[in-house]
Amino acid sequence: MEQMTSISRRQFCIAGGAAAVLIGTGALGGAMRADAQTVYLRPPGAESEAALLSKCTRCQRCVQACPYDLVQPRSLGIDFPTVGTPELIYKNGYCDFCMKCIEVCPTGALTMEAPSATNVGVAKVVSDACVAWEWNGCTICADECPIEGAITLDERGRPHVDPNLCDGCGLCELKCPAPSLRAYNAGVAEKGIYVVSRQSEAAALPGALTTEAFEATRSRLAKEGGNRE
Amino acid sequence: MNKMRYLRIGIASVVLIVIFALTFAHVPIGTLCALCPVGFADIWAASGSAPLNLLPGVLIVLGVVFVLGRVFCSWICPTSWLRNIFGGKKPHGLTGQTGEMSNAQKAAQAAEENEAAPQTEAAPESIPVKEGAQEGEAKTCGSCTACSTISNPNSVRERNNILAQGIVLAVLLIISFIVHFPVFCLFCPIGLVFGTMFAISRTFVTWQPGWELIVFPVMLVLELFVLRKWCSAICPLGFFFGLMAKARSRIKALPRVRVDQGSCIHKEGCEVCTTVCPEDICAATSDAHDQEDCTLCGDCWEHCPTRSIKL
Repeated sequence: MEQMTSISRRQFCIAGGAAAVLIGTGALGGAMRADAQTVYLRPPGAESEAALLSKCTRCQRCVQACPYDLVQPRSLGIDFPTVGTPELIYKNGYCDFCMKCIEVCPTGALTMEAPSATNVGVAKVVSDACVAWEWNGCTICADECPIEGAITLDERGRPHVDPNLCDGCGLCELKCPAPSLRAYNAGVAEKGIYVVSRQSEAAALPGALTTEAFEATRSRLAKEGGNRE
Repeated sequence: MNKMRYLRIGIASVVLIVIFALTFAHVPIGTLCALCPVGFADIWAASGSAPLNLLPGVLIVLGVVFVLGRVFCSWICPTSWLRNIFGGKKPHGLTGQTGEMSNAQKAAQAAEENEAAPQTEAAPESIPVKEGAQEGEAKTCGSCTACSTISNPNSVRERNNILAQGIVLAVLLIISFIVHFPVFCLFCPIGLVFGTMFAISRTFVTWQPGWELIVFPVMLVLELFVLRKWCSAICPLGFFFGLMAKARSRIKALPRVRVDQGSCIHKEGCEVCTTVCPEDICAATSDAHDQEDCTLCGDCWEHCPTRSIKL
């Protein structure tokens, strides 16, 4: 302890370089997020996109806890600060709000108090991908929906989502048979119905969306919905 | 031969495999990130509220480091795990690849060589020096005065620098406070190892491989094998561990490397412990300050030719 810790020029350069990289990354990441205005479908209990990102330590506990493998770490994209934070993917199951992901979260990024603890998002019909919207006949999403009245069929048999009732459980997205009922078309969404975050611009737009409009708005933050400073 | 090193690789592997296996068993054990002191501070800065549920785990980690020393660095940290597996035979420590004598030591050695050259042929006994040592021959002692010209290896070795780590930590907390997300998590090699692991498990679930499967390993190579001084000059976790090490160095009763001076042959020129030590610490002449960087890896204990080193 007698010897004071000194810093060699080389170590100082390394530390300074690392600090500069951190500053650059922080600035770039901040700019990316402000610019992209991104929002993703997060697990239940995420207060807002900004709150989740500031609190998530990417410990992957929620990923491990989810009994249905819905919660997955985000992969690396242009919006790189979100890499490794949890998002919901309704590929192998749907959310029954078992709350296990919230229970295991050690940082408060997911909390029971957040409105999304019982309502992760809202389903949006993609009009040019939905079979019923084009030809009539398919009623799977309305049949499967566990909430009475959340998905209703109009006089032409087309599904409509009531955003006030839908809780974004994803059963409709999981069961949608559109990919097996129609010919593959790269320009059209795979499924006829998708769950999106309530903070997204897509959620703010009323009614069904075309694939183009849907893809453009599903991960964009709605202006009034965001908790941005 | 390198039993302790294989043991370290094994233990770190078990930790990683258990976390990966429990992911598929849906046991929410979490990665080491759930115990991270830097993550705790970083989230505090980024979100403005202390994540108190992280605190018990963080305190346990710091407590373990206080009692046992920096065991995390050599036994658990995936950084050392990767360096031990892919880093070749020489020991990798906090300051990068070691096992070679520092320049000052080499100079002293060369001077001694010239002086003692005629006697070297008639060396009565040979002390085994492990790979990496450039001079393996024993030096006869007694009549020669060379030993006194060898400077204490502990005075010339490069140390873990908590000042450099502190600068990184301070900058990182400030930038996280400004941009509202924990910035260091994007670079942390421990996080990158787990990120790669979970990118693999995600690929199995969604069948959509992401760019991180390539980018994360490349970042790891850059950080651990190109930027060799990562641990000693950048790692903000090392800052916390360095503080713990400084605190524990004042308490004599805590476990540390002890040398039986009666059987130690350092005075006869043996430098085995220094050579095998990932931190270049000469156990024989080390004081508490030198041992702050000791990660209790056990290499000196394993290789000591006279079994003079005890924990």
